[in-house]
Amino acid sequence: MRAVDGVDLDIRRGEVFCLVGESGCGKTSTGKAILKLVEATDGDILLEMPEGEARAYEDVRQRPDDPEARKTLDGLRRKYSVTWKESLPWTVEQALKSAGAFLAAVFLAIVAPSLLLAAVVEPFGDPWSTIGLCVSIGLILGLIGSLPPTRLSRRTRVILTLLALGSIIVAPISALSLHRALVGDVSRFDVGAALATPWTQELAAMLVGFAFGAIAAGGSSSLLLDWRSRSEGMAGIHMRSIRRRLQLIFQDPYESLNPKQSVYEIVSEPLAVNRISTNPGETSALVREALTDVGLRPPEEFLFRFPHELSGGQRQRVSIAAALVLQPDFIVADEPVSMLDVSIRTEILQVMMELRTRRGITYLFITHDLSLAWVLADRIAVMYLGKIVEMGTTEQVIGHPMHPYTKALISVVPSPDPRHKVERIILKGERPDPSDIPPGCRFHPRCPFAFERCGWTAEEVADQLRSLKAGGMLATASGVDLSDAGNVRLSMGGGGPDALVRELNALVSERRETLLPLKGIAAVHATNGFVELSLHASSEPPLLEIEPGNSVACHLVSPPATVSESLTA
Amino acid sequence: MGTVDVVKVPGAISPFRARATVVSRRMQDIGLQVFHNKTAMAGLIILLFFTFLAVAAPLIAPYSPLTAVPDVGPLTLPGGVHPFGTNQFGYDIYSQVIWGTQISLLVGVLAAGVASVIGTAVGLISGFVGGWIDEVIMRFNDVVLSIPWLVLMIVVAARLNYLDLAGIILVIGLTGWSVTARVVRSQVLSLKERMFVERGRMIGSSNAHILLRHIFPNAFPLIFANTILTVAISILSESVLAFLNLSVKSNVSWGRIIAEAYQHDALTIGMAAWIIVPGLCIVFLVFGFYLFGYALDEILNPRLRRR
Amino acid sequence: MPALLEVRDLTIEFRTKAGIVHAVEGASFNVERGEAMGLAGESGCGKTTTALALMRLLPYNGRIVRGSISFEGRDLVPVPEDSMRAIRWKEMSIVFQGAMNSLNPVQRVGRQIAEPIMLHEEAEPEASFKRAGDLLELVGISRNRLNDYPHEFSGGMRQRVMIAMALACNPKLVIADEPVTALDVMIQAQILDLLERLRRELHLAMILISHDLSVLADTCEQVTIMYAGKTMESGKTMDLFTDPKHPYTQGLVGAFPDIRGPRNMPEAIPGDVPSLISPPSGCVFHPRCKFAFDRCTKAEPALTELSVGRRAACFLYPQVTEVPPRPIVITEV
Repeated sequence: MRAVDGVDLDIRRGEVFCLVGESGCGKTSTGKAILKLVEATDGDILLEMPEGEARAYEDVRQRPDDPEARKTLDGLRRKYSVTWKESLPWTVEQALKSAGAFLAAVFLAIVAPSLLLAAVVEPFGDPWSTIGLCVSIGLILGLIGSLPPTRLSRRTRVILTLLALGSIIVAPISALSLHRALVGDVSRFDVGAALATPWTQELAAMLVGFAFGAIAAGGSSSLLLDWRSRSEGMAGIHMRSIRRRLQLIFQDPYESLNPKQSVYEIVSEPLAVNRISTNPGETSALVREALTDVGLRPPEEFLFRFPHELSGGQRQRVSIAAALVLQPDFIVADEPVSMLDVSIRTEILQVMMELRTRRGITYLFITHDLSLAWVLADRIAVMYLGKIVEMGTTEQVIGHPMHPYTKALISVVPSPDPRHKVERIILKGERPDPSDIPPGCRFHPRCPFAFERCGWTAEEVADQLRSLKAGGMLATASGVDLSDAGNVRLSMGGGGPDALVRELNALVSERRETLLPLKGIAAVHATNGFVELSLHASSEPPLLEIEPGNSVACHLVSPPATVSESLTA
Repeated sequence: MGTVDVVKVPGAISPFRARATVVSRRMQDIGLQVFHNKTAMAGLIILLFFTFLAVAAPLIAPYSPLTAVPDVGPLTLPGGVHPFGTNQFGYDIYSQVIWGTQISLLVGVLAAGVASVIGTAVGLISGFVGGWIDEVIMRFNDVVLSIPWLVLMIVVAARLNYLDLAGIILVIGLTGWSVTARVVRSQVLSLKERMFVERGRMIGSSNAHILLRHIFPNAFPLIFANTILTVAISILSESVLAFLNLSVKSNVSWGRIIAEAYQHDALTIGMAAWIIVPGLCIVFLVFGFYLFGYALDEILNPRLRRR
Repeated sequence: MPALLEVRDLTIEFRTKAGIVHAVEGASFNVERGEAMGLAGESGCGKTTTALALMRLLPYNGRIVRGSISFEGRDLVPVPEDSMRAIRWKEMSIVFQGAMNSLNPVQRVGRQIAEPIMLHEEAEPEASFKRAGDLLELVGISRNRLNDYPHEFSGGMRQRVMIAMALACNPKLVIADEPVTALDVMIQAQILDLLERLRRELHLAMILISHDLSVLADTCEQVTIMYAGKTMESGKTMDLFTDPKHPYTQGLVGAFPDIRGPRNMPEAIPGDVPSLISPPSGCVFHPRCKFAFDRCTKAEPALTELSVGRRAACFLYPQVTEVPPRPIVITEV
C-alpha cells in the first residue's frame, strides 16, 4: 500500500511551505519520512543542493537508462542525499583489505588474549577454564569492536591510533615489569639492560600478542569503519548532524511530552542525546534561551513543571522549544495548532513566524485547514491519495485553483464572514481506501469534470450500466459483465443487438454529462451475440508546470501531446 | 494548572539536580495523595503495625520462640502469661506469632523484589525488542504460567533438600516472575507507540535511552503497584511452603505454627487461638498489602487525563 | 406564539472534590420552530453542559440551581425523571459529541437505530426496523446497510447514523454537539448540507454547538456566544459576525482566518481561559479584555437587549445593567 507515491517537493530556504490535504492523503507520512521517522521506500531527500546541481539532478533523473547519467546521479546523491545507500562493487584491493581486517580482528579476538594469558597462566590453574576465559574475553572484545559506531569522531580514530603506537612502546616495559613481579624479582629496573636481555618465551609471546593485537585492533577497526562510511554516504555516520538541522513539531501537545519529565528535562534532552553540550551551565543557558524564545517568560517559572501542570498552549510552546534547542534550519510542523483553542492558536503561530524571521528557519507546515494555509504559507502543495495534485504559490493555488479537487476543497471551506458565501462544490462519496487506489487519475471517481482520459475502468462503467438497468433502461440486455479482454459486455436476452446498440449510443450522447462513467465508453459494437463496449485509453495525469511555479496534475489542464497514452485493461 | 513555587535556580543545573528536583516533587505529590486516600491509609496502618512487630520482636516478645518456657509445660491452654498457650515443645505461641512476622515480611518483600526485578527486566526487553526474541520469551512464559504456581513451587522446594532463607526467597521469586513479565510487557507495548517515544526517536535517542528514560519511568507506577501485590502473593506462598514443612526450618513462620496446630488438633483441645491467630495474621498482612497496592495503583495511574 | 424553546437564567453547578464548578451561569436564549441556533465558545465555556441540561442528562454531581427551560411553554426543570422520558428523544434529541465513536461495535447498526423507536414508542421490532431503514435513506445511506456493523462505516457515515438515531422518534428539536469537528472538510460540508436539508424538510429546530465559528456562520440563523459559563452575546448571525458588539466576540471572530478575505494573520486573545471554580470578579472576561475598565472588575454585566434580537453583556454599552446578587435555589435534578 503506497501511502505516498512519487512526491516531489522543493522547499526553499526561509519559506513556509504548506502541505494540505484531507486525512489519508499522505501528508503526515511525507513529513515524517523527511525526518526519517518513517523509512522511505524509494526516493531522495536532498539537503542544500545548489541551483546548478539541482538542475543537473533533474536532468539525469529523466534518463534512467543512460550509464553516464547514472554515474552523475550517484555522485550527486552521495553528496547531498540523506537517504542514499550505496552498494559499492568489490575491487581486489578492497577485498584484500577487508580480508586482512577480518583476520586481524580474529587474531585480536582470540589469539592475542590467549597468548597474553598463557604467559601469566600459572595463577589460574585449570588450563581449560583459562582458554575458555580467553576466548570469551576475545569474543566480547571482538563484538564490541565490530559494532557500528553511533557517532564516529576524529577523536576516536586518533585515540585508536595512539593506543596502537603507545602499546608498542609501553608493552615491552610493562611486560617486563610484570614478569619480574611474577618471579619475585625486586631488583632495580634498568630499561636499557632489560631491553637488551634475551627474553623468555612467555615474555616474547606476551609482547608479540600485545603489540600485534594493538596494532591490529587500531588498523582493522579503522579499516572497517572506513569501509562503512564509504558505503553509507551522508547517512549513517552523519545522520546525527542531519538530525540537528531537521526537527518535527508534533500535533498533539498532550501526548508528545513525556508526563514523567519536567520541562527542563524535555527541552534539554536533545542536547544530552546528541552530546552537544555536556557542561550543565551551557545546557541550562540553552534551555532558558529556548524557553524565552517561545514566549515562556520568565523561564525559571516553567523549568520544573510537569506537562500536566501546563495549559495546552504552554505545552505546545515547550514542544517548540525542545525542537529549537538544537538550532535547526528546518522544522516540519504537523498540525501544530489544530488541537488548541482558537484564541490560543494565533499566539503559537506568531511564535513560529517570529522564529522564522529571527532564526531563519524554514517550515514545512502540514495541515488540513486551508484557511490557515491561506494566511501562513508562501507556497502550497495539495495532496490527494498520496499524490500532489496541485502546487504553487498561495495566491495561485487558493486564489486561482485549477485542479477540480482543489476547487472543490476551497469552495467548501467555511468563512467566519457570513457575507462570503460561495457556491459549494460538494463532492459525493468519500475518499477511497488507500489500498484500493483508482487507476488513471486517482480523483476521477469523484471528479465532477472527469472525461474520457481520466481512467474509467470497466468495473465503473459496468456498475453504472447495472444501476441504469435496475432503473428500467437497457431492457433488452440480460446481464452486464466483463469480458476476458477487460471490456464491458452485455449479454442479450432475446432479439437482436441493434436496438441495444442504438439505445446505448443514445444514452452515451445524452446522459454523459450527468452519468460520468459513460464518458469512458469509446465505442459500442455487436459481436457474436454480445454487445461489447470498448473503453477509452486513460492514464494518470503527470504533475506539469502550467505556469512558472505552478504545477497541476490534471488532464483538463495538461496539453494532450505531453500525455503518454497507455491502454487500460 | 497547579500553582508551583518558583524554584530558586542558580545558573547551572546539573542533570542530577534536575532529576532530583523532579523526583522529590513527585514524591511529595504522591505522599499527599496517599495521605488523603482512605484505602491507602488503612492499608498503610496495617503494614506499619506488622512492620513494627517484625522490627521490635526481640523487644516485645516475652519469650524466645524456640526455647521451652520455664514456667509451664507443653500444650498448655491459653491463659495468664501465655495468652495463646504453649505448643508441643513448650514454646510460647504468643512469642512465636510475633517472631513469625519477621519471616513473613522478609521473605515476602525480598521474594517479591526478586520476582519483580526479573519480571520487569524480561517484560521490558521482550516488549521493547519484539520480534522473535519476544516470541521465544513469551512462549517460555506461557509454559511457566501454565504450570500451577503452587505445584511448581512445592516441587522445586521439595527437590532442594537444604533450604535457607536465601533459598526460599529465590524459590518463590523465580517461580513468580511470569505474571509481572506479562503485565510489564503489555504496558511496554502500549508505551512504545506513544507520541513522546516517537519524539525521542526523532531527536536521535538510542534504544537504550528510550527504554530507560521514556518507557521505564512511565511503566514504573504500574510495576510498583504490581510489586506490592506480588508481596501479598509471596507471603501467602511462604506460608503455604511453611505449612508443608518446606520452608526454612530454623525459623518460626506462621505457616509452620498453623501446621503444628493442625497436627495437634488445636481446635478440639481448646487451643483455638493456636491455629486461628497465625491465620488471621496472614490474612491481615496480605489484606494490608492489597489495600495499599490497590490504592497506590489508583493514585499512580490516573485514568482521567487532565486537559 | 411562544418560541419552541425558551431558556432563561439557566445556572448549572458541579460538585467536585476541588470545589464547586460554576459551569453555566445565567444562560438565556430562544429557539424558534424550524430555526437553527448556534452555540459557540471555546473549550470549557459551558456549551455542552447547557445541552446536557436541556435534555436533563447531567451527570450525578451536576445540578441546575436556577433558571427555567421552557419547551412549548412548559418548564422542564421541575419535571420529574419519569415524565422526562416522554420528552427525551420524542420531542427533543441530541447527537452527542464524538458519538460516532460510541456506537456499539458488536451490534448491527439497524438494531441500534431501531432501539430508541422500540423503547420510546413501544413499537414492534418489524415496524421499528422498517422505520430504521427509512431513517437511513433519509440521511443518505442505502437501507441495505442496516445489517452492517459500525466498523464497516467511515467516520462521516457513522455520523449520519447518529443523526438518523436522533431523528428516530420525530423530535421537534435536535441538539448537535460538535457534529463535524472530527471530520474532513469535505465530509463536514456533506453533513452540514444534510442537516440543512433535514431542517427544511422536517421543519426541525436545531441547536448547533461548535467551537468553529466559521461552521456556524454558514448554517445558523442566530448565534449565542458563551465564555467561561456566561453568555456574552447573542443575535442574528449576519449582524453578530459583521458587527460584533462584545469584545470577546470581536476577538473570537478575528481569530479565525478567512480563506475568502485578505491574508492577514488572525488576532490573538491574550491570556488563558479562567478557572470555573474561582472565576474572576465582575465580568468574567475582564482579565483578557483590552477595553476593560474599573466597573468591569467590580460588577457583572447582565445580558441586555441592545437592539431587536441582539443582546450583549458588556459595560461598554450604557443600557447594560448589573447582575444583582441572587439567592441560590437548588432544584433537585
